[in-house]
Amino acid sequence: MIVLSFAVFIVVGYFVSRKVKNSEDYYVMGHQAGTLLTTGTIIASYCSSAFFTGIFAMSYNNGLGSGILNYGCLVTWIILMFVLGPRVSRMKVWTIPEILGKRYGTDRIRTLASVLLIFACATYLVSIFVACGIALGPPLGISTKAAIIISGIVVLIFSVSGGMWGVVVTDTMMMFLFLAAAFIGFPVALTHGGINNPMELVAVINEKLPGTFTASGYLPMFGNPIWSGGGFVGFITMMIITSGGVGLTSSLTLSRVMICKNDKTVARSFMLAQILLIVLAFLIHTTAPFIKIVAPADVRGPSGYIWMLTQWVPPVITGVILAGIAAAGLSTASTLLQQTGSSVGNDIIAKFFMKNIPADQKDKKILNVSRLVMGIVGVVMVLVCMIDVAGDFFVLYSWAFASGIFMCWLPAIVVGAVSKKVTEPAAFWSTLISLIVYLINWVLTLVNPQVPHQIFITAPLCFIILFVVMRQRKPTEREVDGFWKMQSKQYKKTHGYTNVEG
Amino acid sequence: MSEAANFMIWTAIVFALPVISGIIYLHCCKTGYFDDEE
Repeated sequence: MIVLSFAVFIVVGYFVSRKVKNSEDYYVMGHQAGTLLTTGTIIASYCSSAFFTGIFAMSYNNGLGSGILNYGCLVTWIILMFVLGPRVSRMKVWTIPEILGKRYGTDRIRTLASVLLIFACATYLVSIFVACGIALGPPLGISTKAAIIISGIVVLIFSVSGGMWGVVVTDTMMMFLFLAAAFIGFPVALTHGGINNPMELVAVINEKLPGTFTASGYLPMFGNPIWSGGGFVGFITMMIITSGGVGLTSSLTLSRVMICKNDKTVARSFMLAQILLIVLAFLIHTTAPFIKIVAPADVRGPSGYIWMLTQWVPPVITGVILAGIAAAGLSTASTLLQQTGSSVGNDIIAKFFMKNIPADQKDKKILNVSRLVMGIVGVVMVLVCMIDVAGDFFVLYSWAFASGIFMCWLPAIVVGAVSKKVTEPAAFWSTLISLIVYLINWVLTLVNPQVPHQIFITAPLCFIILFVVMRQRKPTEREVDGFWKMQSKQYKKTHGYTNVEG
Repeated sequence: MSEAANFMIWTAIVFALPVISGIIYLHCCKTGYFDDEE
């Protein structure tokens, strides 16, 4: 079943690639995506395999509270739907660095954003590939590393050939597949464990695992400093900030805004995705304690859901569900690869090395470069995954690390979209300094676990730098023009602005 | 308040988020906030 689903994705990727006529089609589907396709791709790319492995492990290891309550993206998606999303959609850009380039009018901020994007996507890819390995290795009877290699090859084939069209169409298929996974897994988990009555089972869980159905789960609610991440409050704060940042300005979400037909489609799609994400989170996380009380002690958090499938579900249905879980990872990986390729091709190579090439040849060359970069990054990251796949929290940890990087450009994008007072130096230095501090802070946390998690330092720091530097001078005409490019017709009319069209 | 009640309240808040989005969406449609080109 898994092999069949992989084959289907490759074939669909091939057929969809015929729709790609130019770079715009390849990067952003020609800005033609409707509500269903956009919702499908948001859910598929946002959830990823980590949803069923590393993030599931939170509910498994710490109790339901830390699993269900950590989706900060649900809050920030409201800002995305009505504030940032419509503004980005109006710019009709291809990549996230291009948003910053158009808003602030310089090449240096676009290049910095490209570097940040490549770095974040590449580290994120490691998390996804490892999650795919954990999900697919045991059921297929192959090693985790072999499963990672197979997943990598499949992703590369359908995302390199089909571009954004390939990614989005296969994503929507995958969304239906793992919605099915969640709906099948939920009743199975609740009706096993030797007790047929779920309410009786809840009583047994409360007895065996006290704290499961509470906000803090098995973690202490307080009693630890908030920045330590050791207690519930610190841990959940870290997760909410990280998830909030990812939900607002990560490549996973902003790239979905860019493919939308118009700003109304952005709002509708994210609203639908919000509902589906809650349903998925509820169905998947709730199964954790029901599995934990029965599973052997050596079953670790990230493997808990997979263990349940292989033990309690008939093989054919297990195949469908595992295909769904693998699909979740593949779709996120394809998005990350696609973003990395387009950023290098469109924002770096085309900008700096193809200045003298005629426009008709340039388009084809950018496409080829993007495809080549995707191939190289994909292969390198699969090789990185071969080094260490053992850690229990490796998937979650690498996810949180990569996700936090997206926080660095958050104020430059979000505040810049709503205030014309933000200057280019403010956006540039806020992004650069917070990225450097993020990395240094991360190294320090490895040396000393008592050092606050990097997200607690970076999140306020990027805003502080932005507000301090933007007060140094007034915005130039170019910077203000960039601001107006993001505003609605109604806003421009109300404020009497007529110089910039579009 | 017991921790279980606390958990239920937070879960209810999470489930209410799409409702809030829906209300804002309807309001935005009514006021012509979107550049609707459909």
